Amino acid sequence: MTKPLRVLIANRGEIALRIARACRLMGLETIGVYSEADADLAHLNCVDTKVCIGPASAAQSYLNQERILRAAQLCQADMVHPGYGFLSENPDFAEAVACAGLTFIGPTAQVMRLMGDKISAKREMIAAGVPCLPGSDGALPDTTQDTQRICDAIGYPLIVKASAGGGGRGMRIVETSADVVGAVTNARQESLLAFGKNDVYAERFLKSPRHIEIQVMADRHGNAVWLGARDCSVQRRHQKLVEEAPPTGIPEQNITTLGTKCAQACQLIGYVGAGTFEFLYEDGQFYFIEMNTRLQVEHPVTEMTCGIDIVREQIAVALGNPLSFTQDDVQCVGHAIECRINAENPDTFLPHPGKITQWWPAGGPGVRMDSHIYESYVVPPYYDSLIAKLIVHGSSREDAIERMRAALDETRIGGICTTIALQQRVLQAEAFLSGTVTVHSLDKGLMK
Amino acid sequence: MVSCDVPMGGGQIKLDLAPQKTAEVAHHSATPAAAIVQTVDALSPEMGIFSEAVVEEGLHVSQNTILGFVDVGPLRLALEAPIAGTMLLCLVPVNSVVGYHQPFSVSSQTNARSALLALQCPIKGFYPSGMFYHPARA
Repeated sequence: MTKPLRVLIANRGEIALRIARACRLMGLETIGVYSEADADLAHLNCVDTKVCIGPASAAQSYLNQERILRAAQLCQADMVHPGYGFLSENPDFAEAVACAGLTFIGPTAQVMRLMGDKISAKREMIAAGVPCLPGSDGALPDTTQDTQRICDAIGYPLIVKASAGGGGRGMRIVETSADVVGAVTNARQESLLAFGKNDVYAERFLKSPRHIEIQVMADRHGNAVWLGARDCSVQRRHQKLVEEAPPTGIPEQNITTLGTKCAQACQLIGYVGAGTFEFLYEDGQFYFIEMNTRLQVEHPVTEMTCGIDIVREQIAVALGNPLSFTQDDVQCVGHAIECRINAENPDTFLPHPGKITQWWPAGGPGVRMDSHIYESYVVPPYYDSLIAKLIVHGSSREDAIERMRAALDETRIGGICTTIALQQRVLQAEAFLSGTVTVHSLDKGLMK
Repeated sequence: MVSCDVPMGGGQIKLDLAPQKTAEVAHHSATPAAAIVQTVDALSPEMGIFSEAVVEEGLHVSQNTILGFVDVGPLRLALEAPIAGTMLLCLVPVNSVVGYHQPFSVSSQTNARSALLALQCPIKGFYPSGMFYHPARA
């Protein structure tokens, strides 16, 4: 009898529990790692082996490659699942895992680097026929005159972005030609400080776009499929709060054309595993923003509509198996909505860590709660404030909205503030009901 | 219970002062001969392999005595007694994986004075396990 393979889960919270469950389903052994502040995490009761890797600080625990790899070696792991956030999109970590003789559950470091740099990613997408925003072909030149000429040709408003950027850093919106030089200089300085690189590029700025994304899966045998689209336009300061699948009000054929191009792009760049192509959508056109080379927080809405266990498939692909389905097998049925429940004040969005004194998760047909919390669990102040994902599936969008409203009403989380009150307001807002929410709607107070 | 009258406005209020906890501490301090047992976890300094136990169970050790070693790759880190006492029980088998700050052994059996001092001035990185009782009542 062969020894079961051991998967080290290099993450915490709900996603660690999600991965542990998928591994158990596949007969794989699991290793849970945790920081000193996280000894009471729920998934540690489901894993075969657990080890404390360091102090509470993420830099000394979940973001510390050396400690994660040491735990993997000490506990004799065969594979490492990075989850999302932390080291999940760090090509150096993926490379270090491979160098240690382990399997990284995700794409290769080379592909992560290619898609992690926004300039090279955009170049690859243009080559694959994926629609991109009009912009500079590569990094803006050092000379002021050439930069001005390129930006004038793109047209205004435009946005200057750091090629290594993320989280809004190294980003400037330019309204007129006169503002170009100052904006580029500032963006370069900010990028250098934040990412160690001062390469910036420019592209057309969309004023009222929606955020649409395509879920893909690819294996090592050259197969790539797309699993439907998601609308993640309900955002607060670039953080998604409500996601749904499929997007409403966009012709199905347009999404099919886009999804097909994304799957082809995966084959072109040699992508392996689960990934997401993110787009802005305005006036009937899609524009590529970036690719997330990992599992997404919002993957459950896709799972609920297409009936495929993405985490399980991700692990199977990493084991070298071909995808267990073809594009023709993928049928998206009904409508799914996810609310990210954060331990935050719903008005100020300030984090609200503390002890959970009451926990009553919603249930019933078509309701799924992905969460690691329980009564008496203490939400630590050191990490992301996501404590639960409430997902519903209905026969139509209207049905899903009704189910989500009921599920939010039923859910009880005592002892801390959560975003539930805000999500209840969003689910009643005219803009949400009519499917016209843009990425700016929440920040502009249009859903109060 | 002690009472006192305090002038307040045109009249006065009566305060009943409850005994403070310090009085209890003083009571214990006044009876040093009575042994109070406190167990203290010695915590692994790092994630690694517990490679060697130096002190046998039942042996009395002074503070900072090396109890064992944890190997972190080529490094060998010493695991020291947090306070003076008797090594009661080693919780981790030799050659097994220990996590960062994982309890390694229950090390101290002390008299009343040092136990109280340890509670009042815990050494960084070592925490009382919560077991603190008077043997006469236990």
